[in-house]
Amino acid sequence: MSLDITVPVEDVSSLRVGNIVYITGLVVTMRDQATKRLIAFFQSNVKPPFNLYGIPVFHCGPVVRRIDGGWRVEALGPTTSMRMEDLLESFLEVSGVKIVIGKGGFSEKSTDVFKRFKAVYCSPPGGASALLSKSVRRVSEAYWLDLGLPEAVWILEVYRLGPMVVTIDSHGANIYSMVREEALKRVPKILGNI
Amino acid sequence: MELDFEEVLLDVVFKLIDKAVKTVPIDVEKALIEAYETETSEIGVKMLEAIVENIKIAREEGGLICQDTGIPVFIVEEGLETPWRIDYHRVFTEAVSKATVRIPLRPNVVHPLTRVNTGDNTGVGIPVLHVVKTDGSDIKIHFMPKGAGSENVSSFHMLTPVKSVEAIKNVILSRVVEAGGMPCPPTILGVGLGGTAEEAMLMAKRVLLRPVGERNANPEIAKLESELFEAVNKTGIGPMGLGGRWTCLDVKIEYAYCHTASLPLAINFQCWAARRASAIVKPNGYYEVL
Repeated sequence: MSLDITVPVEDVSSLRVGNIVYITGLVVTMRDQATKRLIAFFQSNVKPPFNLYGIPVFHCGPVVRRIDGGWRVEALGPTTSMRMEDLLESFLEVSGVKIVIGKGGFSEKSTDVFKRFKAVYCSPPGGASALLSKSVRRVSEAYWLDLGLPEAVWILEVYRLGPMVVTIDSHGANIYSMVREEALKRVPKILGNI
Repeated sequence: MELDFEEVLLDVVFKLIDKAVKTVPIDVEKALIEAYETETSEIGVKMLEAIVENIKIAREEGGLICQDTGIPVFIVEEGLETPWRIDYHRVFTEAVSKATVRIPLRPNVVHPLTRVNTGDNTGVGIPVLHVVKTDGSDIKIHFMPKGAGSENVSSFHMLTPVKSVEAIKNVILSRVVEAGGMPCPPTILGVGLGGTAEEAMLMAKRVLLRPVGERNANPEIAKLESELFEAVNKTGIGPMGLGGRWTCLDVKIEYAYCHTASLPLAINFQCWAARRASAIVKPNGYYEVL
């Protein structure tokens, strides 16, 4: 099933693992360093300079080019979310973010974190930046450029960003851990046969 | 006019970088199309469809295959009879720096502790450079932009010689399952077998230059490649780790003899966006991008 999601989105409980989704509206990119800084802002009771209400956070470091007075996205795609796993719980708690976009998934321990914060994880194909960057309409704003271009926060206006698969939903399902668990069971059999 | 060989190399390397980040080699594309046509999981098909479409768009519109334009790795085969004395590190650094602005590439290179970005994909020890001497007078340059998703799950193991083949298979399958979707499967597995610790990893990286589907010339190694290829694709990890038939496009092994007490094994994962480009440069400055 293919679904169109328009930002802002507050309630993601209707999304289930296996759904194919496309997102239209604003998305905010964040990786390791920006996630860390965002949490530090909230923990010291300082409001971050951008709004995250109802906006998906995209684990992504785009390729950008300076054009007169602004920026243009040359390429973008998901980065490996596992690097942010240790920060996930605090991140969802302080930010209130309901949709996280990235690749590679989280381990089983994070399945419950998504459930608790009623959030979902969506995965576009990794590396498909020529395809995915077609959905970028413009760079709305850029923050924390001191972190370097890939680690900075890019607020992007996108039209039908996707395809993405809902891979962890808010009901406790996680495709990555299901696949891994099955694979672990298969390994001894495969080894016995070769 | 006297030949400015360094200028030629700068030109060649720029072209290699430009080609590598915007295309995947034909053998890789073929393998991905075959995977798309034969994948059995619905989500897997969706992922592979997007991947194949992505390659097409990048080719037609000159866009980047992947936003992670990687860390620059160069492997040079320098003919023993070349009349030129080249400071490859200096030339490649200049080419990478220029390419970062002009193509543009994503500036990925940072200090390992402070994480401060140099802005131009160069830095202490970067670009990574390996030079080997070969016969003849040509210089062959290979460029591989290596993404972090696949590099981060690479591993090195010192195995016990008594267990040999079973242990090799067990370790590789376990690593594939552990890595899951992180290295962007279907991957290509580069395996370095034997040698020493550092040599094993270098072999695992270097073997990724060989085309998908080509088997090692040594029949025992070729057999192990085929067996591992089948075994990895039975794990069910699938495209992007979301389940399915295609977990890897190939397994490639380079081997060296080793100490009687050792069995070094290195695994270097390569993502489906297995970008690489090579060129041969003649002593007279004529070159061919392969």
